Parts: sequence; C-alpha cells; structure tokens
Amino acid sequence: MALTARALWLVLLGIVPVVLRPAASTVWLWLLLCAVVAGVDAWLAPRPRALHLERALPPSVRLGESVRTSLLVTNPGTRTAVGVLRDAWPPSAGAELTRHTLRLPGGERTRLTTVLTPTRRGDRHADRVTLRLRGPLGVAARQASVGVPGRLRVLHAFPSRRHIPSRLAVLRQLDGRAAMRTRGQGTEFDSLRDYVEGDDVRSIDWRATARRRDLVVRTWQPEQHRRIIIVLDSSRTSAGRIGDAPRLDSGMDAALFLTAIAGHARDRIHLIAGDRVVRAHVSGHDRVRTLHDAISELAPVEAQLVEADWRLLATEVSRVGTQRALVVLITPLESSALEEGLLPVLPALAARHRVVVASVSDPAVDRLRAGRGSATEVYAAAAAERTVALRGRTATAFRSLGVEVLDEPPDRLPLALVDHYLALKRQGLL
Amino acid sequence: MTLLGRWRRSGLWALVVALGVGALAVIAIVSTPPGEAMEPEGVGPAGAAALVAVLEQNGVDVEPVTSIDDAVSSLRVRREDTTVVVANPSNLGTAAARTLRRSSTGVDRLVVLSPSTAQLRALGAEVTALPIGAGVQVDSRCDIGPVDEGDSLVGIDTRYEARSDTADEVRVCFPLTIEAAEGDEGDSEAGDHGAGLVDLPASSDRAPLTVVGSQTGFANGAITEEDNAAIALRLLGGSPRLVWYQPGVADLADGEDGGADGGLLPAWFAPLLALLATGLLVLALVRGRRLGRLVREPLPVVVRAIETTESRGRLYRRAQDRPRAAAVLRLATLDRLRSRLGLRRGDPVEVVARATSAATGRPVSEVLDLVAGPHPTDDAALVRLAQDLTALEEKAHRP
Repeated sequence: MALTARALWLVLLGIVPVVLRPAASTVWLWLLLCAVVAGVDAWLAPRPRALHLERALPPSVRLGESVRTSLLVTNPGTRTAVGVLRDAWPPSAGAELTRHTLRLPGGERTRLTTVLTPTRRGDRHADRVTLRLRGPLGVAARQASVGVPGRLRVLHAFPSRRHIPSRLAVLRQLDGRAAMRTRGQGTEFDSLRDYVEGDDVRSIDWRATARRRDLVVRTWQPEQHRRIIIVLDSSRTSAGRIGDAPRLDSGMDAALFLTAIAGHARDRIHLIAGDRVVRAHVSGHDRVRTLHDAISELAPVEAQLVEADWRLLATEVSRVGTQRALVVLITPLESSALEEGLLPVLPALAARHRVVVASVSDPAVDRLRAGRGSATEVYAAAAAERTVALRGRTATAFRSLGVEVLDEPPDRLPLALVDHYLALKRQGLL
Repeated sequence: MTLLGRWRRSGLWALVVALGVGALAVIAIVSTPPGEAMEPEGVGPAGAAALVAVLEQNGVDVEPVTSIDDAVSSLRVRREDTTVVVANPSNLGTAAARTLRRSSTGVDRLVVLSPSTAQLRALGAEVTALPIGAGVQVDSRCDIGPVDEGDSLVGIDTRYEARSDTADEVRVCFPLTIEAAEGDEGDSEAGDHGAGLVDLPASSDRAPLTVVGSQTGFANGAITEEDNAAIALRLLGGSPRLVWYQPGVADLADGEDGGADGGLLPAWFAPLLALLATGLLVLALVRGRRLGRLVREPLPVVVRAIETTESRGRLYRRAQDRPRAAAVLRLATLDRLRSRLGLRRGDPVEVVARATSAATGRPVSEVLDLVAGPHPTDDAALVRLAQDLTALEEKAHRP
C-alpha cells in the first residue's frame, strides 16, 4: 500500500470542516474519514501481481554502447491498471529512465523500454520490477515488487580492435613472402613463383629455375596450426589502476587482440584467465567463434584480492598439450609477487614452450622519475627508480631463463605483443 | 615539515593551552565567587555574615530560608516572637510577595530592604519607591522603636514616598530634605523628597512593615560605618527568632499571571495546527514510500597502481633516508650511462666514470664524485645531487 499526493490534499481539505466546527473531535473524525477513503481506494486498486511481465533483452553489449531493454506488460484483468512501473537496474548499468507511467486497459498489453548505457564491464543483473497501481480515486495505491530476471553481459570495449586491419595486412605480406630463415620442420611448402627483385636469393629454387630458364623462387606458407596459450593473471596485482582502467583490462585488450590476429593466421588459441582458480578457459578451432567466446567469457572476470597460484596456472597450461606452443603470460612485473609465485614454475614452462611475459607498465612511474623540483619530488623519483630497478631485476631474471619480457604502457602493450608474435611468425620460431 | 618539528609545534600549542587553563583555574580559585548580595553566609563585601554573626551572639535564632515555600512553612511553625527580613528582594516576585504578606500576619515585624514599588504594593503598602542611584548618608530625625533621634545611616540608595492619605499612620525616618537656601524661595527642588525608612503599622491582613531604602548599608562592607550596625541590630534583633528570607530565582515567577493567553487565539487554531501536523506526516508517508528497494552495486577492487611507488617515496622522505635515495638515483644513472656509452652491465664505476668523462669533457674526479661520492647530508644537497646527475646524463646523451 502506498499513498499518493491526493491523500495529502484530502487531509488538507479538512481545513474547511475544522474552521466551521473548531473542535478536536472534528480533526479525529476527518482523519478517520481520510483513513477509510484511503483504505477502500487501496482495496479497490488492481493487484500488481496479476499483471504479466516479460522481459526482452539482448544478451550482451560492448562497453560504451547503448542497448534497449523492454518489458512487455500484459493486463489480463478487466479493469484499467493506472500507476507507475520501475524497472530497477544497478547504477553501473546506466539506465536512462527507469520509471514509466502505466495506463493499461483490461486485456491489453504494452511495451515499456529502458535504455541502458553500461559504465563498467561485467554482468549486470536486473533487479526487481516494482508496480504501484492506483485505486479508482487515486488516493492510495497497491505496490508490489516482482522479480523479472534479466542479465546483460557488458563486454570489454576492446579498443585495440582498430589496429586489426593494419596487422592483418602485415600477416598477408607474410603469407606471400615466406622468406624463412630455417627450413625443414615447421615450414610448409606453398608454391613456386617468379623471382622479383628483393626476394631472398637463398629461396631460389635452382631445379625449377633450370627447368623454366627463368629465376623461380620457392614460397612457403607461414606456419599454421601452432598453439598459442595466453594466460591472463587476474590476481591482486592486476587490480592496480593505470589511468582510467585497471591493469587487467589492458591485459585483456592485448589478449583479445592477439586472439583476433592469431585466429586469422590459423593458429590455435587457448585463453586462460585465473588467479587461485581458473576463471575462464576458451579454446577452439573456429577463429570467429573463438574470439567471440573469448570476449564473452572474459567479460565477467574481475581482479581478485588474492595471490596468483602460478603452479595451478602452469598445470592448466600443460593440460592443453605437450606440443611446443607460444605461452603468453600477461601479468604485471611486480617483483615480490612474481619472484615467489611465477619464478619457481617458469624454468619448466620455458623448457617446453616459448614463453613471453607481457606486462602493463605505468607511465606515471616515468613521470615520477623525472621529478627534480623539491626534496619531496626527489624522494619520489628515487622511489620510482627503485620500482624500475626492481622490475628490471625481475625482467633480467626472466630473460636469463630464455623468456621474452614485454613491459609496455597500456596503450602500447597490445601492439607490442602482436608485433612480437608476428616477428616470431616471420622468423618461423613458433 | 618533519615529524619532530610537527611534534614540537603541537607540543607548543599544548603548552599554550595548558597555561591558559591553569591561569583560568588560578583566577577561579583566588577570586571568591560574587554571590548574591546580603547572603546570610556571605563573607564578601556584599554578604551579611557579619550581621548574622552579631545577631546570633545576641541570642537571636537566625533561620535562613531561600524559597517562599520554605518561608511559609517556617512561619507556620511559629509566628509569635518572630521577625521576618527580606534582605535582598531582587528575586521577590509579586506572587511570592503576596504569599509572604498573607503568611506573615502575626509576626513581630516584617523588614524589607530596598523593595520596588510593585513589591511594596504586593506587600500591601501604598508606598512609592524612588531609587537614588547612589548611597547617601542621612540623619534619622525621628524616634521610633529601632531608630533613635540622632542616628545616622550610611548607604541609603532608595527613597520612599508614602501616599498622602495614609501618611498619618506611617512613620518615616531619614527624610531626604533639601533646605531652601535663603533668598531662593520658590525653588522646586527644596522641600520633602521622601525618606530612607518607612514604618507601617500592622493592619488586618499584614504584619508591621518596615521598609529600609538601603541594602549595602547592612552588608559586611558598610555595617561598621556610623550607626548602621546599631540600627540593624535593633531592627532585626527585636525578636528572639529571625527568619532570613533570601528569595531564590523560582520565587520570581508570577504564577497567577499565566493562563490568560488562550483567549487571544481563535478557537480553530489548535485543531488546525493538529490537522496541519497530520498533513506533514502524510506528506512524509507519500514522499517516503520507496518505489522498490535500493539496488546493490557490486564494485570491483580497484587501486591506483602508482600507489605503492608513491608510498615508498613518502617512506623515504619520512625516514629522511638520504643515503638510500642517493644510492638508488646514482645506480639508475650508472645503468643508463652504461647502456648509453656501450659498456657492459657489470663494468665497475671507475670505467663508467672514465667513459663519461671522455664523452662529456668533465674531469674524471668530478664525475666520480658525482656518481660515487659521499652521501648528501641534507635535503638541499640531495636535490642538488639529483639535478647534477640529470645534467650529467643529458650531457652524456648530447655531448
């Protein structure tokens, strides 16, 4: 039960009888009358739970875009339902207008639309739908909240997808040239074509040249069907925010970019995200499907305030298969966390696979390093140098194990990682 | 500011506050509280402890009461052989005065010091009080019971004029007269200007009332002057029992005056007020009913990544760890110089210094002093060192 503004006016209308018959009993009688009117009105109001509610909602939306969710309200009764409907969403779902006025004659249905512009990645669950239906006098109303479940998956914005065309062009170049440094295993013979200036002379096929009496070069397709295993660390160190986004989101951006490019290169992707437990594991042959799955599966992954269990993640990597693979570990280069967690398991991993550690660096550290203005700034600069030195020490330790380390700011990391991958592919090192 | 400095400064503030509090405490202890005038226990200049003490020596039983109820109950016990004195009537409301008048019928004498006209009217005396503003000395020029001819009273601050139609029953003493100067006839200032003491006989509803226009005259400060003490003892010591009524603040209330406001407001006022209050309640109910519950927002943990580095910097600064800060900065510079000058990572400082000297043209000893010299001793030296290291690097990068 709820009262409306008319109830207030009804009570204030009591001024007339009170002035005409100034006594305490007049007040009591008037208030009693008001209570009776409100009670009867609320009793006569249609029952909110009798209305049928049905939600239509697209399954997912990319962060930064808007989506329309609609409620189909059906009134199976005979009386007109007049009132307010609130479609409640969490604040980060960015619902534009959640309150709708409702006037629904008996036996009819209507569609109420709420525009959502989510402000954060992850799953957004619709809260309850509240209906407040007025009585015939409009003095009081019946109110009820009913659950109409709905889930909107807000996907990663994937800002580096604008670089996909340029890197695909590089990949196509690779396809044609195929000037392999190593021959034999791991390279696939593709075709013979005429020599053009600039081709590697070592790739001239002399036998075919003799036959054709013209210079012919042998071309290879770049290696295909290699395994790429991307491990995304979602532990406490990934919760650190750089600029506007946490490190995890920048790492995710890089992982998705690599997934997209490697899919086009017909390599097989395994994407693992986890900390003490595996939060997501995506793999597949179909490149479009894999990228879609990766974006969708990573959407609800958030950084957890726990230390990463690298032994568990390494086990997950080895479960993928014994075939040599490119293992990309996306984790911040935090010396204390990695030296205790990752370093012990890294030698075994590096012996079996080609390992790359991709870390999101903080440009703010570089700004801090340059401070020379006052004693406070110099102390901060010393601290920043210490941070850089520690990261450098960790990177050196990794490199001594034959692990490549990429430490780049958030906007550069996806490109650096994919360029590294393309370089490896060009050299046939996968 | 350093931590020590902050402590010193906060300590200084604490000292100032403590000194202030201490000074206030000393002042409060040394200075006696002002108290009310003519307090029977008051030992200050305005108190009346001296008078009470002398009265008690003379065998008078002094009973101090501080409210009209106490006064009434102590008068109910016995009224004969009793004198009642209101030594400080500033808190005596008209209601209390009326009650005092009713309950004091039958006592030997009612003495009131410096009452106002309203209080006198409530006490049943048609006498007008006219404050003088200063204490003056006046001769008695009368001979009634407590006052002899030739007595002189110091500290008369109020003069009283009795209504002329009752003047024959009223005896006055200490008249304030201004004698007409010779040859100055018709001067309006000359003549009778009231008296410092008015003595009214008992009437059917009132005890004999003596009004004295002096309060300070009987206080500790002035009781020894002229004949003040003698007049006071004769006025108040006439009976074996003295009820010293010192009205409290509660006696100021005029109980009989209340209750008359209701008539000013219209009859519908109170019901309308109740109705409007209910309207306010309904408004609260209308606006306060929430359309569904609040929705919870599950927030992920997000920390600024630079936080740890900044904290480390604050830690260095708080600890004044200049050696460490300088060592870190020098190591970083050496690392960058090594990579810039094509040296190996493990090359010793001397090699780096020689190569840097060759690249920049600065003497080896100067470079060596910069990258491996003694630690800076204060913050200014640290800042200077950091700036010099940056300059050296820039020189090495762009010789």
